Amino acid sequence: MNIIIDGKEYGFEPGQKVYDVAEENGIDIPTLCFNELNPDERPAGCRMCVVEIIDDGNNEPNLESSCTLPASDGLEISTKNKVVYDERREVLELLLSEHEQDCRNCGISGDCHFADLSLEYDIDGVSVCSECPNRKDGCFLSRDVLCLGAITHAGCDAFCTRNGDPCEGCFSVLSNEDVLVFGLEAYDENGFSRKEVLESAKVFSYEDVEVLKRLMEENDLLKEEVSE
Amino acid sequence: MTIKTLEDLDEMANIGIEDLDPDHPQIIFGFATCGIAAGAEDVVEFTKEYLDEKDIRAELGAVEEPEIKSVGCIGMCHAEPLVDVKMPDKPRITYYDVDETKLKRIIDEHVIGGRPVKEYALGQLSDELSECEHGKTKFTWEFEEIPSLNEIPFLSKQVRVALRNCGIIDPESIMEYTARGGYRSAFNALNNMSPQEVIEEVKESGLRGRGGAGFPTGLKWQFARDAEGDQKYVICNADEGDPGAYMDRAVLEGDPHSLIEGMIIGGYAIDASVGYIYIRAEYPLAIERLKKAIKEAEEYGILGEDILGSDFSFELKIMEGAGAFVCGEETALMGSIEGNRGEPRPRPPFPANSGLFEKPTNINNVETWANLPLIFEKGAEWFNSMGTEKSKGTKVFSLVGNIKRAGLVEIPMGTKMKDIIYEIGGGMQNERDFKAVQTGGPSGGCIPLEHLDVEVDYENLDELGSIVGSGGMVAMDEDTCMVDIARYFLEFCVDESCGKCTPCRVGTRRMLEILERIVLGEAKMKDLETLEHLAKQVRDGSLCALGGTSPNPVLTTLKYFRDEYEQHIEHNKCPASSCAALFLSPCEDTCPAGTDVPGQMQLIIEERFGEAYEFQREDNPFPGVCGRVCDHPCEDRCQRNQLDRAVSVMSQHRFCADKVYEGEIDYRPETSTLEDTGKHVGIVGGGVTGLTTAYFLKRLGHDVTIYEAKDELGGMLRWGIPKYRLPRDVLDWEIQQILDLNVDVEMNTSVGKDIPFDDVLDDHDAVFLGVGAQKDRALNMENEDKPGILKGMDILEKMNRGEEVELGDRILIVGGGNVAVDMARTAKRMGCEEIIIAYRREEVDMPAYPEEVEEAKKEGIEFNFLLSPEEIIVEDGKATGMVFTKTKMGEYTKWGRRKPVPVDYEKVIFKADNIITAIGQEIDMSFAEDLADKITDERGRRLKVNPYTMETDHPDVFAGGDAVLGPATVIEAVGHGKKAAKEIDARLMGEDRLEELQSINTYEYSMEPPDNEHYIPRAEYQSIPVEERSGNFEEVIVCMDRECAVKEAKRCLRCDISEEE
Repeated sequence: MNIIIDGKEYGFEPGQKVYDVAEENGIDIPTLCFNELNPDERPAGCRMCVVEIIDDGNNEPNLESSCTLPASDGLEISTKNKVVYDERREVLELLLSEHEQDCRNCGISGDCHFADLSLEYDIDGVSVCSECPNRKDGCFLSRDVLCLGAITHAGCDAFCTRNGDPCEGCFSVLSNEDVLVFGLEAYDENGFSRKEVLESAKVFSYEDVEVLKRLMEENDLLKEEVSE
Repeated sequence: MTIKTLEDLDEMANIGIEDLDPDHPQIIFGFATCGIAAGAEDVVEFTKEYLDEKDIRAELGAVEEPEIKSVGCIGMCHAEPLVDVKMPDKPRITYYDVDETKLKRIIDEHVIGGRPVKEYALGQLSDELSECEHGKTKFTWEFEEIPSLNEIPFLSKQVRVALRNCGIIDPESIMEYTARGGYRSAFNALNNMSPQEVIEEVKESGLRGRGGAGFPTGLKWQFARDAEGDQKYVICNADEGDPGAYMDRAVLEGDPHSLIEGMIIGGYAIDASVGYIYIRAEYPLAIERLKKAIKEAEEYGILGEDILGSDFSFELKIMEGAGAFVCGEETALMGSIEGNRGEPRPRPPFPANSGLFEKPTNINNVETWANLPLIFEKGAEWFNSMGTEKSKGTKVFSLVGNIKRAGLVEIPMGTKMKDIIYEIGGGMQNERDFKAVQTGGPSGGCIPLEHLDVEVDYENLDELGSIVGSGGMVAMDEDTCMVDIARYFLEFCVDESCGKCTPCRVGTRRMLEILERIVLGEAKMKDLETLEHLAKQVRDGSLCALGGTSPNPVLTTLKYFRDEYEQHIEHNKCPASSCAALFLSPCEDTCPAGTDVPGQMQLIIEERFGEAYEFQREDNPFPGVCGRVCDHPCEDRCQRNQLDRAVSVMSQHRFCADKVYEGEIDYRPETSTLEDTGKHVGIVGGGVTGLTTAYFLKRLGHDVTIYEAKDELGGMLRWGIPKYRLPRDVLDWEIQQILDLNVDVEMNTSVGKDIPFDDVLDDHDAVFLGVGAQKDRALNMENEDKPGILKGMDILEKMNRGEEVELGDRILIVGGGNVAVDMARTAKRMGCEEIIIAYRREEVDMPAYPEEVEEAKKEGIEFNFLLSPEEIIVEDGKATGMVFTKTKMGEYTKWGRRKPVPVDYEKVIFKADNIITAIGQEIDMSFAEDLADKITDERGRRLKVNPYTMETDHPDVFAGGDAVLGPATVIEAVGHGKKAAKEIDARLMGEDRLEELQSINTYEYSMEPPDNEHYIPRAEYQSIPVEERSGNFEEVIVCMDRECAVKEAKRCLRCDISEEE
């Protein structure tokens, strides 16, 4: 008895779910509501592990959660095509739309599965703070050191901050303006001046600086100019 | 008593027949939830009191008093409260809309006097109604003057299978159920058929799940039967949750035994010994009746051990659900019965293999179960002879919305939607136009007018993007905003999402946020893309059907009404005048010129008539004209229509204008103007549109020259509208007010003939074409050029000029527009004896104003409908008559008008001295032939413009009015002129300055909300008597007096006052 995953055949035991067959064979399927700590509890609610059942004669995409889909002989599924990618990305975006993105003050910042997935699925709106291990007391901002992590796109694995240096913004600012405004508030709270932040951001992009300026004005942030 | 044999059942049936046809009078009340809501309880109470008061036994001389009895709902919700009267040996008569007054008469005349009250009676009950031919009961007496119930329009197209007993029997009497053939099917199945034979019979019948998905019932049973398990279950899904759908409730409240019998058959077929009925707690009456029915069935050995004389045992349990919509989903429902939170779980495993308590389970909807007894009684073949190829039998729909006859309708699958809406439902309320029908509840979709001919079954609705679902059918009229409808249904889904999976929990909420932005006019076009994208992702990614179908209302409205979404977003306009954030008041929003009606009404109340006139002139330079000849679309949208009738807006316009004209006012503000700009605009055509454009452009500070081909200004107002509707002094006065602003006019100057169009273009910064459409369209028939045939517009112009027109005594007019009717009425005044109008569609389709048609009829004009011209009869070289083919109204076109199609071999001939054709007009583009191709539409009949900016494809040329719309209304022409002026000004000056202009004069008036939300009769038009009209052109409608006008203005509900103020 074989099932076909992404074009290759794999054997399986009766009763096994598609997710388990894939995992055994080293095929990565992301999950959120289900994890290894409690493998029998499979609510199939997050919809992150969806796969597409290929060629069942249906024109609409037939997406099923692989954690609950029983493997059956001849079943062909895809874990990696565009339909699957789009749906998973949508799930992450929707979850993010309800998520308070305060990575800087979050306990699991620096080791966040959700942030990792968001980056993997190219979702804009995750800052370097999500990768930074220096949370709470170790945060540069709370130590009066200007770190651009809160407004910088994640993806570098917080290279500088892990080495004890503040972020200089080389991955450029977030393009999701809502999250960007949230990041800017962090500088406001910690008493940085508009000029300081803009000077620092200028190093990597002048265009970003214009965006930051506009957002600061629109949202009335960092209004006090601290003279040096 | 325990039922063991057929004879036992016969014995019960005989008792039941005694109850249905007793030897004492019965007064029977529709006592389901709908009847109670309509006041049945009060009616019963009153009946008892009235009977006591009358000492009915003495009057009747009867041994027994009339029995008061309650039945379920027969489905006619629009006619509740329903009361039936059954006299011994007489037919059972149904009365509708019963109140105390009616009831008194019914008791006095029918119960005591023995004579049915014909006026209140809906019909008499007869047996065919239920399609149930067991020959046990007989409702087949005739009462000649009262129709049989199955002949009345609401019921005549219906075939009642699931609803066969609803409203007929007492739901709490097992005897009456057996009298109607009840429990015989179960008896037969249990004693004479093997379970597999039962399943085969169901398969053969083609019955499909009535809960929504339409899965073949027989196949489902087979799966459950084939599944291995020591214990199996059957479940009835009575968790009816769709807003507006209540067919399950009707069965539960009206005929619970049919459900029980269906479940016995199902339980036997799959070998389940226990059945559950999962019913929502919001149906207390249904639960009560169901409990009684189960108890009674147990007493008679119909439920329990070794039932109905067989060795099959079956028990039924009721589970009350707390009302979560998602519990209608089968896996969530089973979770709920198990005592868990009602959340769907993934399938597979399917319930047939691992359902309730992980045992093989079969779950069907109430209506599916209720169909079964009759399928077994009359055979699978009888059932599958009804319906379409893939959808067999009948389906109950709950027809609700803006429909005249709302209620439950059970029709064979494949009945056309238009028959449901128009023949059963009686069409839309308040004579509004149909817009769309929403089927399948919140998970369904909207079906637009163009698909009204669809044959309703599972496949066809699916193809249109909607579903049959549980059978909700919400008919919506033109005042319904489709964006708002999508928002409403989505809001329901957001509330009812169980929250388990991401796309449904979060995705629908994000979609709702976008829709809310759209109805507030705060959305951007990009939001529409996001909305559509989200809708598809939610549909594809959700775990259960609730999430998977929740975007359907959005997707179907986007598919069929995308334009409405775009209008909300791009132009801040709600075409249905429903989204209150986007306009001042529905009347203002509907008026093409944007007249602030509530403001004018308030000024009238404050008796500031001069200001009221000038206030209207801010938007429209022709208040006096529009007060006479407008088709007043504002009145159709008046919110007062929902209370009593619309405010008579048009006559108010006229009243103010006449007061100013007669000089009976204290103060009138000066017409506001802006400073000279030095720009110059040329206007071709001095009709309504051209004059309006000139009026606004001049006020905006531009120099204006009007080029008019004829010797007088006014266009169709002067040449098309007879004097008895629009006196020329009023017209001249309002035109003169425009000219007084220093508008230049080149009279008798035909552009293209007297002056080349290119010169006009060169001389001005912009040119507006308001050339109208005055060339009569030809019939394109042989002999059209023969003497005796006249062209409508031609002849109307001559008559309006007062020129001599030779007409015979008998005139035939072909066409149904205003020109045709005006022609007829003018000819009548000129002394023609016999005037016949022939039109190829029906009266309701006539483009002419209905009140004009009414007046014409009063004046003795003969109307003939559904006649299409075929041949002109010529005698001695002169046309003397016309042959018509009879037509009938065919299918709906995309534009929502039905096409007339000829009926073969049926001809009608009219002889006449003159035949006048008035079948519409088209534009005469001879003045600028080289431009014609560029700016006219493909048929060359009209000018093509951007409807929002009035620009043509030529950069400096704008156009509007009849030239663009074809024969249009005065107010549409004014609206075009205003819009064009605004756009031309914006083009010339680089900014929109109309608002600046309109804010110069300020009108302060009370913004106190009025206290008038009670019935106040509308001031009707007063017209001069018919006998005074002949031989003259006196104005027919009389202006209302001051007192009356103020009183009428006070009827305005002031929709322009928002709550914050």
